Amino acid sequence: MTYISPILSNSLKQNNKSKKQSESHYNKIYEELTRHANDVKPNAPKAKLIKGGPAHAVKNTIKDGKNFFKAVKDGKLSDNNLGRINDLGMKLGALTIASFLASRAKTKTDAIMQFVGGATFFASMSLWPKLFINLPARIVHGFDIGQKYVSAQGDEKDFFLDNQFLPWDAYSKDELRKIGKRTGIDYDSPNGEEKIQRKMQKTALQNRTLWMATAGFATPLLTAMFGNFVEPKVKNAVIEKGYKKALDIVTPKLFYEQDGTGVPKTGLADYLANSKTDVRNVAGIDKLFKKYSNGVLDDKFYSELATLLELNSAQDSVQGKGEETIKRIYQMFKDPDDYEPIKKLHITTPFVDELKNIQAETAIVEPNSLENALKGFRKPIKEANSFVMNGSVTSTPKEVRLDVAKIMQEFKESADKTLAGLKTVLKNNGINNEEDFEIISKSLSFDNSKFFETIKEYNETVLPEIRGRFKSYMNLFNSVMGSKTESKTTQLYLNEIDTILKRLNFNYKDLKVVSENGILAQKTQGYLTKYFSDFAQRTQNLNPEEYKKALKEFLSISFDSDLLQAMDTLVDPNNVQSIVDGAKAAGDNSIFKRLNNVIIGTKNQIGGLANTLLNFRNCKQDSVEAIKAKSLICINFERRVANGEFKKALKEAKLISEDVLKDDTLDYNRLLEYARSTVYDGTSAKDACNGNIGSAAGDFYKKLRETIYNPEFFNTEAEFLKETANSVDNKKLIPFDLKKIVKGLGSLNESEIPKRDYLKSLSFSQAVTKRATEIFNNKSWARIFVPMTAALIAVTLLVQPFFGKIDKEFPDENKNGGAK
Amino acid sequence: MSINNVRLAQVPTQTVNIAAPKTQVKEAQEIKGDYQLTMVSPLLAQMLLAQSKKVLANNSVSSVQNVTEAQKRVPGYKNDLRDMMTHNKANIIAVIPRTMNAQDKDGNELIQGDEISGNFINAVGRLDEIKDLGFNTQHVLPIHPTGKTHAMGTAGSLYAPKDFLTLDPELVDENPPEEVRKRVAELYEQKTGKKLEKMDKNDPEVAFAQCKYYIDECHKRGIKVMLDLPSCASVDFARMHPELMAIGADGKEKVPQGWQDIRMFKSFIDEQRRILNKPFVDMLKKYVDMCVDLGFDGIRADVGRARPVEFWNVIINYSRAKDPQFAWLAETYTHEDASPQLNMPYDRPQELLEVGFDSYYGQYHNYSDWTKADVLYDYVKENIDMNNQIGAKCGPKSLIGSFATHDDQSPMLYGGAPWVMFTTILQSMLPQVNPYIVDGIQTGDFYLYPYEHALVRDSETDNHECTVHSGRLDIFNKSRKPGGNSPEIAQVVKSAFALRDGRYNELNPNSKVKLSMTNAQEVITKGSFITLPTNNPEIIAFARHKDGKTLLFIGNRNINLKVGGKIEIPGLKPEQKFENLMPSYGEECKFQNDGQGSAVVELGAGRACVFEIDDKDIEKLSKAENVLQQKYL
Repeated sequence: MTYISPILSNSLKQNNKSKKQSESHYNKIYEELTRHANDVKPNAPKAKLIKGGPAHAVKNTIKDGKNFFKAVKDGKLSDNNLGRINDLGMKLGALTIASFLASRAKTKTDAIMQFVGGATFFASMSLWPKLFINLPARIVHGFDIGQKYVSAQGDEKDFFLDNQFLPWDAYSKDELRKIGKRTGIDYDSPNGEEKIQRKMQKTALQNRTLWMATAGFATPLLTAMFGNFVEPKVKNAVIEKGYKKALDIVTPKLFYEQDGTGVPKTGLADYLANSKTDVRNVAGIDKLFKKYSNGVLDDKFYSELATLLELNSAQDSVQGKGEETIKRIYQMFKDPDDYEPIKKLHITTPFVDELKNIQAETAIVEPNSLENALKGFRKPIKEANSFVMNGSVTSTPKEVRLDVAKIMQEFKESADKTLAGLKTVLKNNGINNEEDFEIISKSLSFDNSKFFETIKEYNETVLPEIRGRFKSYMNLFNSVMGSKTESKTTQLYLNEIDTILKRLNFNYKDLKVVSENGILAQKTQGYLTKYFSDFAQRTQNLNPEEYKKALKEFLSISFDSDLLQAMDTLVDPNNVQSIVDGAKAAGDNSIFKRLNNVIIGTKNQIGGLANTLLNFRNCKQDSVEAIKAKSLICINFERRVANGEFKKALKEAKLISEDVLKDDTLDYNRLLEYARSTVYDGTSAKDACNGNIGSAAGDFYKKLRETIYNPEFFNTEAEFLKETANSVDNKKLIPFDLKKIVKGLGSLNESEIPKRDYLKSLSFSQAVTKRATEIFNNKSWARIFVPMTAALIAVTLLVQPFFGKIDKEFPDENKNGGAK
Repeated sequence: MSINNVRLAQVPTQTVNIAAPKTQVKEAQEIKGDYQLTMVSPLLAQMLLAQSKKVLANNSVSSVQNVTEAQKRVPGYKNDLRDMMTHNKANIIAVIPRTMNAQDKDGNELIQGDEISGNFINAVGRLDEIKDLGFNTQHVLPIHPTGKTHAMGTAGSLYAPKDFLTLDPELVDENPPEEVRKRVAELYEQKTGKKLEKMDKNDPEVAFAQCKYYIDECHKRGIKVMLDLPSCASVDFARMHPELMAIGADGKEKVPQGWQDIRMFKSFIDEQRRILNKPFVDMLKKYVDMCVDLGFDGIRADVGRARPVEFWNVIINYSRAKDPQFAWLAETYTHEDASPQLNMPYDRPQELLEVGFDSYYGQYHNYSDWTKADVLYDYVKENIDMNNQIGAKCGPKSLIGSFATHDDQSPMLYGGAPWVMFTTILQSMLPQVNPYIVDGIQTGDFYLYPYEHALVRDSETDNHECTVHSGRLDIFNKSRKPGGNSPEIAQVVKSAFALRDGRYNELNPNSKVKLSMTNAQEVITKGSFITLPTNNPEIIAFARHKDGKTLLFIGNRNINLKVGGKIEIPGLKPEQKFENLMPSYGEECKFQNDGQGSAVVELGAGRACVFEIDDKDIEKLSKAENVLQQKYL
């Protein structure tokens, strides 16, 4: 039973006595109730506004993960949380794609950039609305259109997510009043609250629409720009980290003196010893072996085996595909960075021969071998066929093989009997030699087990050791002096070119001209002429010592001692040898021995790894020296042009005699330009060496070259080059002999140019052109997209004040209401 | 009972945020002495207390309740609908007098020409049938004249009233039987003091008198009657009473999204300060007066959230001043942070209950989407928890078994008769629920009308299209009497209600299964709700338990497939047999006691069964989290 207040009830009872009185009393009660209607108030809202932030975002992602597992486990999830799993899916998907792409990236920078790109994409997606929509909207309109709230069900949502479902009571009156003040609407005016809400609603809708409209452009643009901005920094960080690690390992340390030799050692041996890689494809190999355990090892078998061992080199090498072989070897060690240095090896015959030997080793039980083995016993086999199959035998070798297969089948069905039968047949046919019988019976039974054991041992013991050591070694090598961009030496080289470009003060237009003029780089030559002639003019009055001092300042590139030390350590044949030395204990079979030779080679043997790495180091060093040498030749030329010596020399060589000038085919300026392009453009020198130019021009050009490259004029520059040669522990490395180089260049005889990398490295103008083109590409990309982004931002910002206009929606204050 | 001993904790409505000068509060407290009095306002308390000093008598509350006109008209009748609803004892049927007993002669299902539509008098012809099924409460959908402008359907939507304070003249029978005429004339004379000259439908007092006659006939049969109060007004009403209507800040009338034939009321004259629009409240005060005068026992508030708590604070309390047992049912569903419907406030059931509503719709209409038993249990828990949380200050609150309301498609379309029977038995066994069935469903009406969207020449409105919301009860046209071709549903309704009313043996004399407990009604309306662990999430298994007596519900909510599983029943005796108290329908069910405290069952599609089991300790032996108890009953 529900009761009402007795007092109220009693009063009602009394009032019921007289209807008239009662009605009056009810009216009084009613009036009293209406006066106190507001004694009750709506309950406080359950929805609460909340503040976001990175920590909150992380928390939400974790929550999404939990919800996902909950959904999988229980099948229970709110629609909102189900929708949010989409976000989680995107993040996980992006991570997965980035991981996949990173695993296939050729450089560490590329790999890192896959993740940076993914993260940047999400950051852009999140930051674009925050920075360029929400923030300006907040500044202009006084509220956050990205406001979040927690619903009564505990779900976190965007307040303005659904423009027709806005939990307004989560905003307090004070908050609305404040927003109203900011937007010029008096909260206490008629319909003030509704107007403020409508303005917020409209502003949010317009801004969110703007967000949707711009996000498709803004997100990729911001992602790309940020990625572009970050990539060089990532690359430098990768280089520095790799280089630092390499230095730590290869720098001799006192710690290693404990072995009593007194010779400081590096941590290289320890580092390599810990570099074993995982055994690969064991299950696949076992499966393959099982499949072929009693079968003919055909081409397909070898192909599959080579794939599983990641050693597809063997057969190709036999076919003499040198380049392919190198690539296969490169694949064998699976490090993209390794390819370039190995390619530089100019791998020669011994290497390929060794590979052939490996192939021979593995080919013992190949079908061909079996056939060969059987060739010598064709007759007895025919007899055997006759015996076993009870048929006549007139077969070709091919048919013999087929017959053998049938014999094998018979053997399987009654092994002992037929084996004995075969033996008898062979004996009856005069084959009594046990060794011959052994060969045949082995071949016929296809007992591959020994071969399989060898391969398995190789795969499970030798290969992981060698692979691991080789990979680790090459990682160090690449960090220090690899040809790929992620090495210290490459960084040094590029920095030098960048310095020159910077000095040339190329603007965008210059870069464009340079990049568009291709490899001949004639325009570049124009810039370089100015660059060197300025220096030449500036220094033409200096004495030799002052001139050398100026040169040192002008040609700043050099290897520091740490770098030289690291390079030296890594090309030390003893250290290279340690790649296989340490792995010896893992296995000692013929394959291992041959592999040892392939990788290392005998000391200083051409084609051996040790020798190759040494050569490679020299190349790297020479490429830097070449920059200096080529610069010096250019400077020398410009100095001689500036002080008139070159003109004088031309006259002396009678290259600008009256006769020459008379026929109007050449004048001094044209001759000068030709001479200049010869100096600046290394390809010209190469062509000259190959006889492409010299033969046509005859003595005239020969004389011209001899004039340009007259060693007598290069005394100071040659001294400078010698004096500034790179050194390790004050032990100078052999520098280029500039006089010898110019003599060679002048004589049109390549063989007279020192066998170094002077000619093989890029010409000066080529290097500058290449680098300028890279910079131009970056800049031209930026010139398209930066303005586009800026325009997008500008439009996004400029439209903000026009949002949230509600004047037309509230034309007049209709205070009395009324139906129309 | 001494008035000093009257328990006051359940005084309704005087609940939240009393704000009054301290001196007034203090004075009120001094006057009330030992009473735990919580009043609407200190001022009101002060006034009433002053009066009570003079006339206070030592009577129980029930004895001091004012005798209403309806009570005087029907000897023995007394309104206790509020108690019934809050204590889960109302078995409700929703009816539309306009169609309730209409006579469709040509079979086109639309009442036209000389066909007789439903009215107050012929509706009486169905009351015995309704009573026989066990219904004790009617939810009468709106009975006011309908708006004719921008109308939906040819008769106008029931929820688009042209006037709130008169009754639809179309519900008047101008040629009733003689004895009815006499009684109506008496009622007419009592009200107007004039003799009834002609049974003229255009005389509003005739409609009032006939309505009273209908209500009295309900009361005579022990059926309480709730009137549906529309939340909005028709366009015609809005044109006549612009001062009552809501105008948006854009200067336009507020139209609830999707309902172009109606307009919103202006509840506040000053929305920011939440000052009520007095003329509007006045009109609803008169509405309450009218309802009490007619003899209605309560009001079902259409779209409860359409009016603010301050409004209900006045109107509900006012109705209670006139009739403390006046019941209020809110059409409110679930807490919304914001309204998804344009121009409509958010839904907040809890605050409507706190301000005085006794019962509410809830979310059982979504049950067809709840494919796992856990979802149902969670919802039962959610509601019991809410009531237990607010019950201390506002007493028990209940839901209706809103598995299908007139706003929903016929449940026949979802799963046919088995589904209706399943949900009927289920809602009759759930705690905190008053079973609720829309007229016609008890015999399997699909609410599919052949005239749907047909154009007709004769229309009472400006619309000649027979608007119908497909599969839903027609509230826009004069349609045929609701009903279908599945009489077996009625048998299930009868059995289920007989069980929950504690009259199972009496009303099922031929049943082989006899109920041994005598307190079945107590078990179902007050007992604990114990969910039983199963190994099949589609099986719904729960026990209702009170004072050592236990009823067991086991059902398969899958209407397509037979399911099997094992149900743990803590305290189940090995010798316990399972004898279904409900009528059997559809596929056969098998029950086996495994002797180890579990029942192994195989349940036909859509089958629901109820068993009495001898399990005194089921509540103690069950895990605490599986036992729910509605407090404050």
